[in-house]
Amino acid sequence: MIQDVEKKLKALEIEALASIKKVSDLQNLKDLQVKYIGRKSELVEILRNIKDLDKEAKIAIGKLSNEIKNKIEKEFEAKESILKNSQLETEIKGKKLDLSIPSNIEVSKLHPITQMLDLTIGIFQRMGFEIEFPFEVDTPYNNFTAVNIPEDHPVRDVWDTFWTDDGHVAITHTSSMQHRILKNNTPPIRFIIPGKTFRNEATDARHEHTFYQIEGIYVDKGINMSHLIGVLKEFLSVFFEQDINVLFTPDFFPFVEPGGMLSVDCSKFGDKFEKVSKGTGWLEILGCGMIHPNVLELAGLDSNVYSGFAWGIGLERLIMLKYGIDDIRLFHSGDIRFIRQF
Amino acid sequence: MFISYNWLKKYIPGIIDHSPEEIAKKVSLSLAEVEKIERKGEGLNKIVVGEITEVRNHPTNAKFAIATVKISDSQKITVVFAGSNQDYVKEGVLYPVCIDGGSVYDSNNNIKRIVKTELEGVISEGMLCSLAELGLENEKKGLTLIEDNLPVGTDLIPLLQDYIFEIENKSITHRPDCFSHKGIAREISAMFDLEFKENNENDITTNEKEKIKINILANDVCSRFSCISMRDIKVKSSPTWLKIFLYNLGQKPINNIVDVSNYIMLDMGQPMHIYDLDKLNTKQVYVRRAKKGEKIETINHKSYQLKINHLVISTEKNIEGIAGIMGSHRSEIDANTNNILIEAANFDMFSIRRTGMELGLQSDASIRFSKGLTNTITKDAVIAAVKILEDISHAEVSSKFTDEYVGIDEIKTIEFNLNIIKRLGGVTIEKSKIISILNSLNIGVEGAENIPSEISKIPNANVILTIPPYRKDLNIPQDIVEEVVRIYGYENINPDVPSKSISPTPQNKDYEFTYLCKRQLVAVGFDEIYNYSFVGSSTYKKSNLSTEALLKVINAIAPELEFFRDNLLPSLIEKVELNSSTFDNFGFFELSRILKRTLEEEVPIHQKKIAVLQYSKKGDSNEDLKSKISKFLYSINLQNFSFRNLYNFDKSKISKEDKELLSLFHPNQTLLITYSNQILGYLGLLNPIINNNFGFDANISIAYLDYQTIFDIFSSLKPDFKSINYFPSVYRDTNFKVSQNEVDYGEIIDELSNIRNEQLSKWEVKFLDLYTDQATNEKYLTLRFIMQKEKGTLSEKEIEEMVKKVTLLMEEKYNIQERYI
Repeated sequence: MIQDVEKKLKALEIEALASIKKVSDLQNLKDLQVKYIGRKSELVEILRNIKDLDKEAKIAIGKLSNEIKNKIEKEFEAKESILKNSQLETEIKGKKLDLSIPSNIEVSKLHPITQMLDLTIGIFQRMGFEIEFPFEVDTPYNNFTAVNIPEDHPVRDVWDTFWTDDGHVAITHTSSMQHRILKNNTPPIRFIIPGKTFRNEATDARHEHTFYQIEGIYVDKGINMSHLIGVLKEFLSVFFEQDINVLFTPDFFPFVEPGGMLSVDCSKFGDKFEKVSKGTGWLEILGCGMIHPNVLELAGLDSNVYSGFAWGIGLERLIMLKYGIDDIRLFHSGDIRFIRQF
Repeated sequence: MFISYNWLKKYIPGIIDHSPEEIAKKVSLSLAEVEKIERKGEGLNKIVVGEITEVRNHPTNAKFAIATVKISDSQKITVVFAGSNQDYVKEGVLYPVCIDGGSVYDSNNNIKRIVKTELEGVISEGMLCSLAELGLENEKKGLTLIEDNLPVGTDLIPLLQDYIFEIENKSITHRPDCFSHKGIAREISAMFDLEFKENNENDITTNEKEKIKINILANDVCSRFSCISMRDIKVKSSPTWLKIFLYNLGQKPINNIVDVSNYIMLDMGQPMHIYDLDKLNTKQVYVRRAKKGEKIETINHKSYQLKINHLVISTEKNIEGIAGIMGSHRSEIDANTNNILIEAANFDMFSIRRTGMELGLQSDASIRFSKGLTNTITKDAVIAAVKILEDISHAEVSSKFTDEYVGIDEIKTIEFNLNIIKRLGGVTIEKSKIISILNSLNIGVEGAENIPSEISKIPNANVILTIPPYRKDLNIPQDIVEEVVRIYGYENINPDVPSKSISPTPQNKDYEFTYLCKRQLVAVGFDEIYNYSFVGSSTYKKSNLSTEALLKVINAIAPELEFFRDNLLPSLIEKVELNSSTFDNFGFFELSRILKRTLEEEVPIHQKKIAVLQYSKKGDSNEDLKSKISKFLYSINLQNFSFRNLYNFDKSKISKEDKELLSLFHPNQTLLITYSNQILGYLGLLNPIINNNFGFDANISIAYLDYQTIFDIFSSLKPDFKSINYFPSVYRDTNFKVSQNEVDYGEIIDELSNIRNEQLSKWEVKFLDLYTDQATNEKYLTLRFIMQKEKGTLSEKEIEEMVKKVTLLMEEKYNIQERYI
C-alpha cells in the first residue's frame, strides 16, 4: 500500500517537473499549477487523505508528499519568474512612445520687486541690519520736520508731495521712519527701511509717481563717510554679482551733512544705460550722507558722541540696471508678460 | 541753472587753461552735476557785422530780393535773400552776414556751408543770418540781432560761440549764491585754485534831483531795500553782446532796461526790479503787507487777489509789485519810459515761498529769494545796473543811492575742531591743505598757528572760522566738513566697513510670513502683481464701491489716482483686460496694504490684505480658485479651515466693512473661509453686474483674505507631532439622500469630522461624490469615513459602531437618511 502511494508520488513528481520544464507561457503554467498542486490535484488529494493512514504510513507518506509538493512549488516559482521576465521584455520592446512633445504648463512668478527686495533684505541682514517698514501715509512731521526739513522751508519744494485731505503726506521717502527708529533704539542702530514711496510727478520711462525706496541708517560711535561708501559698495557688488565701481559726489539733502550722491559705473550694464547716463558713464542711484546732527539730537542722540550715515536707494532703478529694463512703468503695469520674465 | 563759459572768464581769467569738459567734470565731482554742456555756435564760421547799403528786387523771381552789404571799409558784397524778410532788411541796417566759405545752421540745426552761388542769374556772395541760423533761437523769423553800433566787419564768432553748462538745481537748493555766474565762478576758483576777480565798482555819481523815500513797514520780512533813480532813459533793444548772452542762457531779450535787470540777476544772483518812475508818480514807496481785498495785475497780464500775509511794494495809491516775485503791469517799462527806479531788495525766504505757493506764481526772482539770499549784495547790484545803463541807454542817475535796511548780514564765526573732518569724513587731510581749502572758499581761519601739523595729536584742534555773508548755508561744523571734503574730493575717500558685533539681528517675522505667503501663492499658480495705492472714483463705481470714506489726495495728478484705496480688488479687476488679450486662463494676486482714515491714531490705518483673482475664458473659475486657495492655506499650515456658503451664513456675524466688500461677490456663489470662529476671508464669483460693468465676457472669481488674521493664526500654530501609526486604517463609504441649499455640505462634513472616539487615532470624513438623480431630481451625497485605531486593527463591530454614530447624527441633526443601495 505505502509503496503504491510512494510510486504514485514519484511518478507525479517526474511528470510535474517535466511539464513545468516544457511549458512556455504563463497561462499554461497556471493550468499546470492547478493540475499538480491545486486544491483538486492528486497530490493535494493524497495529502488530504493522509489522516486515514496508519501511523507509520502517515509519517512516511506525509514526509514524502510534502517534500515533493515543496519541490514542485519551487519549480513553479522559478519558471514563473522566468516566463514573466521574458513576457515583460517582449512588451518593453513593443511599446515605443514619443515623449518629446513639451508639456503644457503655466508657471507663475513672484513680482521682480518682491524677489529683489528679498535679495536686498537678505544682503543687509547678513551685514547685521534690521528691517522696519514705513507707513504709506504719514505725518508731515515724520516725513519732513523730524528729518530736518522744517515747515514752510523752501527746501520742501524739492519733494513733489502728495497731500491727503486730512493733512497727511504720501511718504516721499522712507526716511519717514528714521526719527522713530533713532528714538526707539540705542546704538549701534542698523536698520534698512524698504517701502513704497510717492512723488507728485508725471510718469515716463524713467519716472514713476510710485516707487520703492530702501532707506538705510547706521549710527554708532566712530561711523564716517568711508564706512558709508564701504557698506554700499559691498551691497552693490553682492546685488549685481560683480565688482561695482562707485562714484561719490556732493549733493544736498537736508537730513544729511555732509551729503552726497552715489553713482555706479554703467559700463558694466551694457550700452542701454550709456545714453541714460548722458554720456558720463555714471548713473546716479542713491542719495546719502552723514546724518545731520539736528536729526540725531531730535531723537535724543548726542551728535558729539555718535555719528551715522543714511542713504535712500530706488529699488526699481537697481532692478532696471540688473536686468536691462527700459521702462519703469512696467513694474506697476500688472502685465503678466512682464512678471513671468523674472 | 545755465552758466556761460565766456562769462566765467571775466571772473576767473585763468579758466582758459581748463577745457569746458574738465570744468564740468570737476563741478560735478565737487558741487553739483553738470547735466549737459551745450556748445553754442559750434561750427559757425565767417560771420561778421554787415551794413545793408542797398536793397533791390530780384530781376526775375519775386520770392527773392537783393541786398548790397558792406562788410568792411573796402568791401561790399551782393547777397540774395528771401523777399519776405524785406521788412527787416533795409538800407542802413546792420545784419549778421555769413560770407563765402563760412557756415551757419540749417533748419535741422545741422551745419550748412555758405558758398558763392548763382540764384536765377544773380550771384549771391553770402547770406544774411536769422537768429535760428546763428543758433540763438528756434524761430525761423528774421528779426534783427544787431541794433547797436558795432563796427562793420566785426567778427561775431567769439560772441556767438560759447559753452553753456547746465547745472542740476536740486543739489544746490541750499546755495542761492550759486544761482549766479559769480557764485559758480567762486566755486570753480576754489576747485582749481585759480584767482577770482571781484569786478566790483563802487563809484557812481549821485545827485538829489529826485527825492525818493522808502518806507519798510514790514521789516520782519524785508531786511533791506536799495534803490536809485535814473532819468532820460532811451528804451531800445539791448546791445548785441547782451542779447547773445541772454539768448545763450535761454532768456528772451526784451529791451535794454529789462535785459539789464535780468542780466544782473544771472550775473550776481540778486533779483532786481525796475519801475517806470513816472508811472509810480510818487516820492514815497512802501514795503508792506497787502490789505484785505487788494488785487494786482502783474507784468504777465494776470490778476492776483492778494491775502493779508502777502508782501507788496506800493505807492500811496497803487500796488506796484508782489515783493520778490513779480512787478505790476501798471508801472512796467515801455517804449515811452523816461525815468526809472531801480530796486534791489531782500525778502524773507519763507514769506516769498508761501506767497508764491498761495498765488501759484513763481519767477526766477522768487526761486532765488526762497532759497535764502544774503542781503549784502543789493548795493553792488544797483551800482552794477547803473553802470551798464549809463553805458547802453545814455541815462543819468537822478537821485541819491537810497538804502533802507533793518540790519545787514554779518560775517559769522564758527568754532571748528579740525579733527571732526577725520571723524565724520573718514579721510586724513593735512592741516595746511584744510586751511588752503577754507581760504579758497573765502572762509577765514584764526588760531591755526597754535595747532600742530599733526592735528590728531590734540583732541581739541579748535580754530575760529569766519564765514562770508553770502554763505548762509554754513552754520555748523558739519557744514564745514562737507566744504573741506568736497573740495578735497569725495572721490579721495577710501571705502571701509565698520566693525560690528556678531550678535544676530532680530527676525522680522511679519516680513518673513508675508514673503512665505507670496511664495506659496505663486506655488499654487498665481502670478504676483503690484498696483498703485491710488484709485479713481470710476473704477470704484464700476466695482459697486463708494469712495466717500476714502482718504483723498488733494493734489492728485489724475482722476484715476485721486484716492488711497481701502480695497485691493478693484485694482486687480482693472488689470484683467490687459492680460485677457494674452492669456485664456490666469490667476494673479496682490498682497498689499489698504488705508483707512482715522482720528484716533497719528497715521491712517494700514491693513495688509491678500486679493486674488482667477480668470477663465471657459471653465469653472470658482472651482479653480477654491482649490488653489485651499492648497495655499494647507501650505501655510491652516488646513483646518472651512468653507461656508454666504447665503446660509448668519449675516450678523459679518462686520459692516466686510458687508461692503461682499458687494463685489456673487451673493449665491460665494464662500466664507472660516477658521474656528474667525473669518479668514471670502472667495467666489465676481458679481455678474460688476463683471458686466467692466465689460468682461469670461468667468472671473475673486478671493479676499485678511492677512493679519491669517498671520495671527499661523503664529499661534505649532506642529503637533504624533508617532506614526503603522496599524492599518480602514474606510467605509456611505450614501445619504440630501436636500439642497438648506444646509452647507461643508458644515455637515465638518460636523461629522468632529465625532470623537477615544479608541481612534484617526477619523476623517472625505467627500466622494454628489449625485443628482435626473429622473427624480433627488440628490445623493457619498462620504468616505477613514478610521484607524491607536493600537490594533479595527473590528467589523467597531467600524459599524462608528458608522452608526454618523447615521444617528445625520438623522437627528439634519434629518438626513442613509440611502441603501
